[in-house]
Amino acid sequence: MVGGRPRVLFVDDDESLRQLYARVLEMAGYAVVVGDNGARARELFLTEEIDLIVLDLMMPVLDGLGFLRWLRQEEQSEVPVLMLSAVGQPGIRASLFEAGANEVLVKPVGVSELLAKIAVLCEA
Amino acid sequence: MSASYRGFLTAMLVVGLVWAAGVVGLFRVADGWLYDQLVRLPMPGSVPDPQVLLVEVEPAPDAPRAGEWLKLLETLQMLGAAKIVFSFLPENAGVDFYRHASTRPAVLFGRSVETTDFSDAHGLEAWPQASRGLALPFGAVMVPPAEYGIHRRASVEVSTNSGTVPTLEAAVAGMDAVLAARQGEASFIVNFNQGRRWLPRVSARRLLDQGLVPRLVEGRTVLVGHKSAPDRPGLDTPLNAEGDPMTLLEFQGYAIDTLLGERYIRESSNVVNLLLLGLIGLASLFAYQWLGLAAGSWFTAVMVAAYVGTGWMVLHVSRVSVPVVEFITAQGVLFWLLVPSRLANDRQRIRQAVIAQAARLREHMLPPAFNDGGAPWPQLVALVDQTLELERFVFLELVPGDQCVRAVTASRCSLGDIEERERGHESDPYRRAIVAGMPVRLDERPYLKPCAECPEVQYLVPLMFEGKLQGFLVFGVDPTRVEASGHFLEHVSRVAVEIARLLFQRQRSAEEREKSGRTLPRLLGLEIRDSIHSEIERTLGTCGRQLHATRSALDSIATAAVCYDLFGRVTLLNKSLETFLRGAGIAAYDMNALEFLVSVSGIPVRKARRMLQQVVIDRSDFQVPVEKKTSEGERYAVSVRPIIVNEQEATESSSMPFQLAGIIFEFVDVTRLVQLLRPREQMLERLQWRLQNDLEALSAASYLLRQSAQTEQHAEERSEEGVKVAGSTAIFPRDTSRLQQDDLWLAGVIDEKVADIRAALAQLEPNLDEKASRQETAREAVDIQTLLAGVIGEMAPQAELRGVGIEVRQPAVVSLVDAHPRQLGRLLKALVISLLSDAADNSRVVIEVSERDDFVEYHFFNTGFGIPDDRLQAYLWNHDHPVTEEFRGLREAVRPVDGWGGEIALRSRVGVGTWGTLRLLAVR
Repeated sequence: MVGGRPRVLFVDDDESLRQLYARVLEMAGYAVVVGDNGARARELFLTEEIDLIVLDLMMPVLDGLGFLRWLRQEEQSEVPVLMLSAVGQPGIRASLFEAGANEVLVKPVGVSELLAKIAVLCEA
Repeated sequence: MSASYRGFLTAMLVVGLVWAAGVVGLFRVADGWLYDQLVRLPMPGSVPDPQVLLVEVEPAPDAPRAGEWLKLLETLQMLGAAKIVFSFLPENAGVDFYRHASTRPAVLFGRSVETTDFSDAHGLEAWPQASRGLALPFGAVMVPPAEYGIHRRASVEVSTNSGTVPTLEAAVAGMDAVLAARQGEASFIVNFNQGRRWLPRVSARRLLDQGLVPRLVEGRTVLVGHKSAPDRPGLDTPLNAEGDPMTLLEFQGYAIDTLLGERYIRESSNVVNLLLLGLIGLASLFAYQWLGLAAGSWFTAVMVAAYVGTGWMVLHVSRVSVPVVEFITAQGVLFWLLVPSRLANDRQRIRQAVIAQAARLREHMLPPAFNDGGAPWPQLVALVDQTLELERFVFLELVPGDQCVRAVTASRCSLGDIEERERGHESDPYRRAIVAGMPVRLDERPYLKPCAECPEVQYLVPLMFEGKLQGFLVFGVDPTRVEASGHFLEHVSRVAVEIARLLFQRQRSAEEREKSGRTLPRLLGLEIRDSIHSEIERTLGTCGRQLHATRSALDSIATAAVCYDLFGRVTLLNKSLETFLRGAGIAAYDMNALEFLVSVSGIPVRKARRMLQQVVIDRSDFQVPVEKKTSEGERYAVSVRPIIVNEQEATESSSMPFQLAGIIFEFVDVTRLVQLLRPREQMLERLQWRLQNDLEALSAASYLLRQSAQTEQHAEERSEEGVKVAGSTAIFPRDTSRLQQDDLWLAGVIDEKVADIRAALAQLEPNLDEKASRQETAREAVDIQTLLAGVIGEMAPQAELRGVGIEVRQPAVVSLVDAHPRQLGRLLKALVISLLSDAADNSRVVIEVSERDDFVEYHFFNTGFGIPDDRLQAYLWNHDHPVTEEFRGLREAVRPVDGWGGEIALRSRVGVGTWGTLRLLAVR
């Protein structure tokens, strides 16, 4: 928490999307930290106090699924993770849930839905 | 004897002969012996009360003295004896005894029958002096008749010098009982069924000295006679095995009891015997028609036991003696005659069937046989024509018994084109060709007349196999062809050797046939009956060769294939597939067709079953991708199709349901195709990913723009009102210039993303066109239930958020539908999204599935906000009409339905919600 605001780690390799969602989340009252891949997200998670992670699936260096497995298996962290995926096959959804994702949304999600999900996960 | 009735007539003849033999007494000894055995086996249960009491008179000195006879008589009378019978005339009895006896009608005497030495006339023993002048009732006493030494019967009368006299037994029982027992004969069968020691007996001495219990005597006939003594040999009866030979007294006791108790044994009449034998004959005739040797033997044994058992029971219960031995004999003879005869018939029929079937099989297996048929030359011409590219050729064969050859057939020329006059194969050019063992060029002396329009060189090649000359092949060939291929002449040589081999085998086969046709050598060599073996051998050999050829052909096909019959068993599996399945860890032999399909394709069992149903019932085929890759990364698709047999074959073999010999699974290597498509698919995936990201960014930018616009509007309102807001709590506490910068940045992002999308679309366009056309043609049977379940699963979180329940009402089994799977998935998703978006919070979306006629129908409705119906129709069907983002996907998704032969209708009403029906052609 930063001044009573939940801190969200937003990880996506699309820079525009990162900047836009940083703005959107700040407007919605969250403190935002951004990363452009799973490896960077790992560094940020170890150095910052994170309340929620919004994670893209397909990223260079270390993808979302790799980061998620590291988070759950090695770090044993229970921080809520919302996965954003550009592919919506049931098999992938199942893998992500199995790896420890709390929610999986398929792009394009829409800001309202994303904010609603983030709010639910933060409250939880 | 007519073949149709041979069995029946045989059976009846056997019955008649056995019966006649029984009537004339051929079975008397055996019948008597068996009768004795059956008599000795007593019937368990209540034993009847004997009607006779035996009083045994011991030899002197225990014999009654003169005065005691009267006392004996009076005592017995006093004890209530029904009758008192003296089986002899007491010598030492006094007059008072005989006088007393004469006054009592129930006292009888036995008088022995005496035979004089010089005639057959019988005289009766004289009355003693003491009885003279008294009229005493009596009966004749004589040794009963015997059959081969065994006494089973008692006589009822005896002829004497003074006429016919009833025997003592007959005299005691009275004529009525005798008439019932004798069955028209002079004797009757004594009933020994109760066994030895059944009749009570006391000694005369004991009776005189101690008296008797009245119960022992009361109401019984008392037979007084001599006890056994060394000078009185006993009688052999059926009960001999239970003790010593029987005394005459005891025998008479049994005989009298038989008459008095009406326990006489009757013999079944000849008519009844004949009927019973007839029944046995018919039953055996039918039974032995169906039973083999082993079962027939068992049947015979069971029947024999049944006859013995029945004979015993009838004897003891109904007191009827049946000729069991005749029955057993008839049964045995029938078995011996009918079973081997039937087996011989069967063997004969099998032999004929095998020979006929073998001949038929060989006809099927091989074309008009090369070895058996007429001239082989047309087939050899075809062989050479197919194998070698020659200008023209002529076959020469050897003249039997001569050193000459003669031309037999020519191709692309005539026999008249032969110019060579030499026919002796010991001379050139034949000699030269034989020595060379390969084609020799005939430059100096052409064999065939020159051909003006076709430049050629001529060759002569011997047809030799295993050193035996079969003939020659003369041919003309374009010299350039010989030069072009360094192996041409070598090829010709190999073909010539093959032709020689065929001719050699044909000749040998003809020789064998000729040899086998000669009866005398075959007879001498015990080979006259072995035709069936040789037929089978020949046919099996042919079948084996054909099967081997078929299997080799199947193995040599690169395509992996397996055939299953309709009972789920593997009937053929080639090597390619064996290798593939071994790599994939699939044991085809342990699976049926359904399990195999599921295992290789990974499709659900229900779907696989429907697909196989299509193959079996509709005789259609289908293809599905194989789930597993080989270790080399090869990808396969499996093509499944029925093996259809013609109607005649199916009728001949009733084990071919649906006129199908089975199902063939053919594995087609699609690795290259997949490799070709993979880059394109990857590109499409990348584009999809970019577009999704861009849309996400646009969505976020649009959101921010709206927020920015609202903030600006607030600022303007506040400015107009002159209100100075200090330390504003607005989300974006920015000044106007900052707002403009933000807008500009957002506009830039939007422009950039739109450009991205355009570029992506431009890249996608040609692929989409091609893909769409490919997809249009790629309709198949789709499991819509699975698709719908997937879509609902995907949308469930969204529905849950708003408390909307999705309810699917469907039967347990829904037919597959004719559609393109991906497009149908898209349509279902678009429909569910529309219904969910329109649904009121905490309401339900209902999807009902039913099948009607040839269609599967999906009826769906929600309780929602709805839109004006004309607007919905315009969104869906008027492509010029502007459409919201929400309905664009649905408009695109409904488009292909018409092409699948299906229908879709959607309706909506404000305040009510949206509903509609999707009808798709069912695949059954």
